[in-house]
Amino acid sequence: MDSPRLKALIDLLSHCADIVHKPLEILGQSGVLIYISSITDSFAIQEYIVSPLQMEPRLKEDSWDDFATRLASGIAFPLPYTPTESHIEAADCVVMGKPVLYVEGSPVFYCFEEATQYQKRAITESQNEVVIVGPQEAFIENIGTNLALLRHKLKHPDLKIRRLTIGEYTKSATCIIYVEGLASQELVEQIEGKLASISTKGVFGASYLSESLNTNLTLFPLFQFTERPDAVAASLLEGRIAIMVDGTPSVMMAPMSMISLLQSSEDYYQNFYAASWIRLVRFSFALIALLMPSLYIAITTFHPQIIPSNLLITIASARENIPFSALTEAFVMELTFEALREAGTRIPKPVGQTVSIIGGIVIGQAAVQAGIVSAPMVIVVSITGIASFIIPHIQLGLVLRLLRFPLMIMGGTMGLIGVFAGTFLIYAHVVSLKSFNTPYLEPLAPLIIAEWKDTFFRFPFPARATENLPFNPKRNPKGAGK
Amino acid sequence: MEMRTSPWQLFRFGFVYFNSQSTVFLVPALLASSTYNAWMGVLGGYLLSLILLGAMIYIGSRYPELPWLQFGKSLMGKWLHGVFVILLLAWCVYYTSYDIQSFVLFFGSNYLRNTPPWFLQAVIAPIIMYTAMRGAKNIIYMADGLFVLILASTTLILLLFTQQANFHMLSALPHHLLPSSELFENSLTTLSWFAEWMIFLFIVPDLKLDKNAARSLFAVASVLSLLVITGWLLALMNFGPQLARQFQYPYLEIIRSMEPDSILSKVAPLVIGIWTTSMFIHSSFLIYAASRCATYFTKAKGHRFFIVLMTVFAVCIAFYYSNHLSLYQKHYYSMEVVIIWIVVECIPVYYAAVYLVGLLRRGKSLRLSRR
Amino acid sequence: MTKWLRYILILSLLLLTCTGCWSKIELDEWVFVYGLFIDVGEQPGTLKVYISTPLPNHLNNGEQSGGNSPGEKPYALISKTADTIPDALQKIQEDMTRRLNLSEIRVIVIGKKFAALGIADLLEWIKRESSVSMGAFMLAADNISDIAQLTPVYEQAPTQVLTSFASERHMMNTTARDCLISNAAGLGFPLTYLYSERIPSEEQPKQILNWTGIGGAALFNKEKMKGRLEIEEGKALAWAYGRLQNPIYSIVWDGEKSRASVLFTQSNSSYEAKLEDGRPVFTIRISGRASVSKVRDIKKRNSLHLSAVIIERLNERIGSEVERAMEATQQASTDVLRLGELLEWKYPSYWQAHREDWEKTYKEGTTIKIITDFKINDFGKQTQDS
Repeated sequence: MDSPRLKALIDLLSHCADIVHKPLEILGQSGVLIYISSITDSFAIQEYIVSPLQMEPRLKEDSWDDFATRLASGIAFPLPYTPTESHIEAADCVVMGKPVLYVEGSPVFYCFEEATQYQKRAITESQNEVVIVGPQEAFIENIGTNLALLRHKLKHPDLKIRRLTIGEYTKSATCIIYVEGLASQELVEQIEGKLASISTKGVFGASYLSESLNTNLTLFPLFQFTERPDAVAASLLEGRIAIMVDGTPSVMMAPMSMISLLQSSEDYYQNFYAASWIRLVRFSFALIALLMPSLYIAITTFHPQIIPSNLLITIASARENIPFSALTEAFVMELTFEALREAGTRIPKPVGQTVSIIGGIVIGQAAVQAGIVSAPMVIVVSITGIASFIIPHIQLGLVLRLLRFPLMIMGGTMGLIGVFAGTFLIYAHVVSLKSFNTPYLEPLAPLIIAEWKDTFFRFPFPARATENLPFNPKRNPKGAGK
Repeated sequence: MEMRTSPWQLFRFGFVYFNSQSTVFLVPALLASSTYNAWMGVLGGYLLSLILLGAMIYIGSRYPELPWLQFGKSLMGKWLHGVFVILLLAWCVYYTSYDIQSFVLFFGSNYLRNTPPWFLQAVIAPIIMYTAMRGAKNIIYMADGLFVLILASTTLILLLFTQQANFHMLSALPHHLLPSSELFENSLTTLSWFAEWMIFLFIVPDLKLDKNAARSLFAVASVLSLLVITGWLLALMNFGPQLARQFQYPYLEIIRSMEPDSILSKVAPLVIGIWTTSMFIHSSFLIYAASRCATYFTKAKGHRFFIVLMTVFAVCIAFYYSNHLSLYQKHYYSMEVVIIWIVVECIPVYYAAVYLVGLLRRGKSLRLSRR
Repeated sequence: MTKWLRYILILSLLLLTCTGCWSKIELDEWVFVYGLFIDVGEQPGTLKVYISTPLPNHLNNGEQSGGNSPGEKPYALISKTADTIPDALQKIQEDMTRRLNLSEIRVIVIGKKFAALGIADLLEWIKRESSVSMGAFMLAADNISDIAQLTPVYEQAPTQVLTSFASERHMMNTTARDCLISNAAGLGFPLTYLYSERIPSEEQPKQILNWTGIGGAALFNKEKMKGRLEIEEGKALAWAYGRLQNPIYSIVWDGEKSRASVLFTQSNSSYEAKLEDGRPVFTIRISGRASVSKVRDIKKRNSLHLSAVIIERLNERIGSEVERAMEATQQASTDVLRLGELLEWKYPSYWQAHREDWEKTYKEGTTIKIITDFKINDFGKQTQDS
């Protein structure tokens, strides 16, 4: 076959050793099926493309013209296929796992859908958002499976999925998922417009998109990432919008507020008393994670009169002969803890045990006994460390860990007023943040008591039956919240 | 970007805004000037301030969508309105300097003795600048969020103050009433502390001044007077009038007089920290209003520049006062300052009066034309 | 413009943090004063000031104190003489390697001679020195240096013992604040009076311990000590003052053949003032709820009669003690219960007229009536008949 179009296609795909060119003969015309075997379903190709052509008895009775008509009208094969004239598009189809059929005498290439089969891992438990009671499955890298998991949760025709392709080289399928009638239509259009205007070489994770969607330079995450289908489904029902990217199990959700980063799916699967208690603990420990080291330093160096007197003597005696100031001590311990944490995340499994032993013995015991750091400081740092892990969403935990250090400096140099000033600055910054028109600290600032049923506490479900949609206030009855 | 409002949001903002100055710094003035009858002056000031509040709401609701800077021009004429704008601007900056200096004195002399005042002022200034730059909407959101915390800590503190209070002293109140000659003067003094209502004219593009706003602000005035009277009573009952008048910061002294290991003495700096946030909100909003006044003359440009400039002015004045402490004390409690404050706080009354006169004139001309 | 502004702001904040910390003192650079003892110095016009502080370096890193050799006490007593209290503290500071921290002072003990001269200086210093807690207990004693060196048996430091004398409320628990209030109002205040003696230790008779205990009450008018009460009257006065906790009284009747001991679970007092013919009449009401802990009744009365007898005897005994105490305060012209305040509240015009010479009026021109009102809570675990 000497068609120039085919030649152009084969040139484009030159030096790709995994491409299979299967010659076919269809009613006297020669043709070729081009596909990459590792990313296509060979059974589908054999059964639904090749076999009908080679073994279908009825075909033998057809004339070429009839077949060509059927081909052109899209009913010739069991698999759906689309015609394309451009060899560039055909090449794209091949590398995306869609077999391309070229028949002499036909002006177009035919790209088959539904034959793509990427390697994917099995659906496993969620590793990073662990829940004791409740669904355990998590998203995987394959967008088809992820959508299937979501469809399993929400079975309603109003669940809409808009598809885009982003990334010149990765051509990642990106889906904007929302429930029509619950989510704000303007927001959907806005997000779609922004995503469509992204031009980048490749997208490997949803976070690549977040920086284009919101150009606010802030430490705080303006999108919520999750790998749990139940979390996504619940958010969709709150009027939020999910953005799913092929190739990553993390799904992005917008709009969000900081409170949603402090909530876990588990809260909804436990008894509401237990859930409310755990939420309160979580909130207090989130504050402790941010403030404890700086408060400790500020109080022991500037305001010792706050400490109860027996504790004062104990801490003072523990600090005897410690060569460093409280601020330096805290810095050293905190940095060591950060290093330990990062090492624990990256370390290969065989060596993992060693790290925990070294961490415990060296830092905990030996440093105190050698008189390098004081025991109360180790306690403070450990409690802070534990507190930062209590936060269900790791992005917020990272931010709070980071903000601890400037607050420590301010507390260590200016005392309590430094801590208050620093906290106030952080507060002022966070209040003025917006995630797509939703104030970041809603319902705390602005204070909307009606939404507190699901913030610090988790009121039982019947009480929330007539709840407002915090993320689409225009849809609320009587315009509440607007 | 529309503002998320909720019921009583203006009340929360007003409460946090006023909480910083009146509740802490008015009480020593009350204790110093009277023995058992300061509450009458407070009630008098409260009632007088309601008149000013009424005037502000009246004039604000005549022009619901327009900020005062714009409709004032049409009402008073360009030059006279300009004079008032400058007056308000100067007052805002001066008040902020008082805020800063009184805070530095309060905090520095008690907890950070060796730290020079300029350091504390230099720490406060960027925070006020940053917060004022967030805009009125975000400042109101922040006050919203802080409200619960401030309310809780205020209640806690007042409850803890009752621990060592001698409640039998309450029997003295009906026997010591103020003669009416002094009543007016005391009411005027407290009026100057309570009646900063014209600042609320600056919330206008974000929130509206309507019946709900009037209700919220009336609640603010009432709760505030109640808090001041309660605080004054507790200070009196803890120390008796002769000792209480000798203290510059009676609340701190109550805290100091608790048993060393009691909850209150340990929790005090944290409560003060929470109070500090309301002071930041107060100063930031004043600077924001001052910068809006300044941009009136530059046709709404250079908003951020003016914020920085106004804050720097305020800090310079505070710095001057920190080096001339007796002058500061003299000015702070003088009658001249009371008069200035009242003149500025009556700005809505002038505008309301001019508006009413205009109405009457138009009504008269209408009647004339109908004949 | 805004970017430039942002950089300036961040830079200024950073620079500020490097400017050095004026008020920053590490915990191990402080000496926390827990007790202050003041008496007159050897030279007239001087004061000798003692401070009692714990020694954290003798409490090694988390180990319990006393685990060291018995010679090392975990507390220290330092004294210096100077004209005024701040001067004396300054002298002490000059010899110290660490800074003195006065915010943990729990107890201030005043010597007899200093009290007689007048403690106005001390009160003024407490008022002005904002780091000193006004909640510190004030005690009076005869021999300050012995008191300061008392041997603590159950506690770690002497100041803990002295603090508990006041906080356990076996006598007065007057704080510096009470003294300041009374001083400003021109009235009086009572302090617990301590005694000290040297006794041989029960375990090792060769070792002599400094023992301190409550010896009565000291009566002050404004700032001078004007009188003293023994333990019985002191206790009664403490009851009238409203600060006594769980007093125990033993009473006898039937010619000392029948006895009972009662423990008062509640002990309250209240006062009232009236002007009768231009003469102030104060009524002090002493009330309490008693739990009878031991009874031996010769005549084996039933519980109704017995409680009546017990209450009558209690009324007599406690009532007369309170009367004696109040008479003593009148004799010393010390209005320790601040009864003058009641007049100020209710009769402002009378008070205005008589405020200046209230001492004289209190001594001669006032009548104090005592009303006692006791109830019996229970008869202990035994029935009345055993």
